[in-house]
Amino acid sequence: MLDGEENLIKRAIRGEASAFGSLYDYYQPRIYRFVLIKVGRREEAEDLTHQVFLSAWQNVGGYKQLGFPFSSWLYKIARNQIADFYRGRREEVGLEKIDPQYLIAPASVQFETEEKFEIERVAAALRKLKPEYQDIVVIRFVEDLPVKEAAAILQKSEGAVKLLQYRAIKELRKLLS
Amino acid sequence: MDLLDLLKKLKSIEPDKEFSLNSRNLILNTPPKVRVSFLGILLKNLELGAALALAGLLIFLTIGGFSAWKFFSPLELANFDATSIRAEAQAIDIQIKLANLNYIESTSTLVGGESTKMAASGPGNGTSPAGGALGGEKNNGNSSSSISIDEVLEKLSQ
Repeated sequence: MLDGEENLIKRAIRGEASAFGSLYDYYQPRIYRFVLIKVGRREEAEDLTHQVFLSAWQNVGGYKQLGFPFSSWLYKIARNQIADFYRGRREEVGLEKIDPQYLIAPASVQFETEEKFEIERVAAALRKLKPEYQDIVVIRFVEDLPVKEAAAILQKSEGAVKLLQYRAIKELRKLLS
Repeated sequence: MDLLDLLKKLKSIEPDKEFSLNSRNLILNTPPKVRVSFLGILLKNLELGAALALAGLLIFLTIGGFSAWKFFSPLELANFDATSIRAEAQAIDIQIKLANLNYIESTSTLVGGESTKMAASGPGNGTSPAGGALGGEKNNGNSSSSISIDEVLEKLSQ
């Protein structure tokens, strides 16, 4: 959670662009990763991430702090955007269709060729999982968020989250084997 | 490599800096949507109404409404009735004067009485005609009392 997040949220609700800008800077990379892993194409991930934050900014006035982290609200918007995206154009993204620049987005990060191939294979397998499993794997194992926060994002109990992550990893291992 | 380690490596994915900057600027330059709710509209109208009413009242009072206040006010503002205040002030003044008069009268009577007693217990020790005169003049006003005192003093000095 971002330092002074509550205050930033309050200011953003009042319409202060600078406060929302700080929230954007902190959460945008996470949302982008979440979207990219799910849709598989950088351009689409960028468009969807932009839509997520645009929607968040336009609706932040109605945001109510109910004790859940702000990220849970952003992830919810992102999940809805992705669902709308797939509803619009249902298309399976095969491994051969993955953007070759997929993991080169951060120029500073360099992977070994073999490692890169492994990561791309895992990412492709991830996209074959059910959306619910994809969400839990990204939130719990990529973003490394605690179970409590994952439960808030997915609107499930902590017990349900633990069960879901177990099933998702089991399914992912099966796909990779 | 372990699956969980590979998944953790996905965290190194970051958006393009140029895209992030452009997207941020575009979003923040978009005005946030104004939420329209019934309660919000009601409160806004009430606020406007109250402001207009207060401004009207202020203008009315500034123009000269204070003099007309007693006609419109449901409260009885007796303190603002100048005639009653004046009458009350005059009455107080008169009472003071009457009290002073009584005081003067009573003090002069007392002085007269004391003088009579002194005259009666004088060197002659008998009934003085002046004393009788003084006693008779007790209730005859200030001037007669003063004359009697003078006479008594004259006799005492002889």
